[in-house]
Amino acid sequence: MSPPEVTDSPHLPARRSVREMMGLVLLALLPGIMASVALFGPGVVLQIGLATFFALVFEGLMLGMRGKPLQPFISDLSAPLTAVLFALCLPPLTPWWVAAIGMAAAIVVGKHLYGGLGHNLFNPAMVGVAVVLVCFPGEFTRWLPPAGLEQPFATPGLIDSMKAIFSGQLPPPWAWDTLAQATPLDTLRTSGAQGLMQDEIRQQPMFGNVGGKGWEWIAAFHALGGLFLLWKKIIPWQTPVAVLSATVAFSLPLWLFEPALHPSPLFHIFSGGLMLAAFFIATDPVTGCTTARGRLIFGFGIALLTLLIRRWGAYPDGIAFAVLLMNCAAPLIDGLTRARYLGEGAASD
Amino acid sequence: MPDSVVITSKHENDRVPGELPCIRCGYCASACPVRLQPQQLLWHLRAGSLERAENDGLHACTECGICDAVCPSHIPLARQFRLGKQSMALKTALSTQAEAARLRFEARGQRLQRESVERAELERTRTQTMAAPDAIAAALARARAKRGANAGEKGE
Repeated sequence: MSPPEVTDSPHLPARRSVREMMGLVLLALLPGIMASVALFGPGVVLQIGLATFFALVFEGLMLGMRGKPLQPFISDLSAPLTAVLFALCLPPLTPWWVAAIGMAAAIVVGKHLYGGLGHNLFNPAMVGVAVVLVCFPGEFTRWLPPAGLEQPFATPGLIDSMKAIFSGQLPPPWAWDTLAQATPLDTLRTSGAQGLMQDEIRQQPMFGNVGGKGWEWIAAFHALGGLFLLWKKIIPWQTPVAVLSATVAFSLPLWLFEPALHPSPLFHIFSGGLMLAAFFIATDPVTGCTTARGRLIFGFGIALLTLLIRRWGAYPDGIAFAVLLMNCAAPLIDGLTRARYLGEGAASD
Repeated sequence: MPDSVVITSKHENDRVPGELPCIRCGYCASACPVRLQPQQLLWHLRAGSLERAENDGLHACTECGICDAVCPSHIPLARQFRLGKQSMALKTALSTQAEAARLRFEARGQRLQRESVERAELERTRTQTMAAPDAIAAALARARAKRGANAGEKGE
């Protein structure tokens, strides 16, 4: 019998891989994606496809330029995840070049110029969203009305969506004037500026039970996917709990105090990208906090900044900016919130 | 002495896959039995900042390797920490040595100084004795006294 071979650690194969984690997150996004497709039509899938295509092209290009091996990094699924999160923030009939520019900003600048996977300071998907939101605000006004609303037009089909996305012009008989509709958050902002009361605003047909009609369902399905990730322990519980509870904590007193002027906490949670952010964007491990207390502070910050931007900012939804701002603070928060390790502070020998 | 021993079948060692960058997921931190933050320690060690790793509790690592087993990026964390602890020990040993050498050097300097002062003092007294007018007579007297004493001893 030969003597046992002594090797250096690690001795046991790891239970999970980065690819598996990213894959499960993508899987958890499926309910929300399907809800979006049901409400906004095939344009959603086309945006996801386009963004994924550009993400993989830029990822490959940058890996080549940086002299990194292609296979392990392309197959880790982090670029497609960035692409999907980015695409879910785009109106479904956005022209194709918006995805190209967004992914260039996300993958080239946000990710690889900072050192690639694991080294980026900012959430790449939110870098992409912020860049196209700032550069092309007009494209973001062209949201479609969710299917099921009393609209004379249905959602454009696959062929018409493709024509719209690739030519940048709506094929007849569609027209932006009749097709495009402001998002519930947009409407809330403009109506509020006109001096309308909350209950008057909520009378409009685009509003549903708690948020915007249709939009609230997408948020609910994203929450479902998020719960799946929590159950699988892919994401820590602190971040989504902090984002959602802080949203309630900050908006509830105002709403109780003056319900005519302030939207309800539930409206905030089920509108815009807050639910998606709570479970899928703020939980990005690379750009978020890694200590337990740090994650709570990180989530609180995102919720507070989002509400501040919704109330006073120039954009109807401030998720992307809130996440990017908190990304800046994450390393500092991590440094300040380290928990005591076993034996720390005890008399040393 | 190792704190833990892992015995595996041979083929299990071959299944340890290649390493990817740390994505700071924190699985290692929630698995660590001494509640360290391996992802932060790795961060500091790879940045060459041994002091910060030490400040975050590098010395408390028991090298159990649980972090290795949960890391989705398959980073050999425990190995990194062992190396880190070794370089920390080396650094401590070197600085202890350097401190001892410094103390020795300073003591030698003080001794040399003291000796040179003493030598100068001796020289001065001798010069004074030699320069006295009855130096020779005194020396002779001393020698005579010595010889007389010796003779007296022999006589007894």
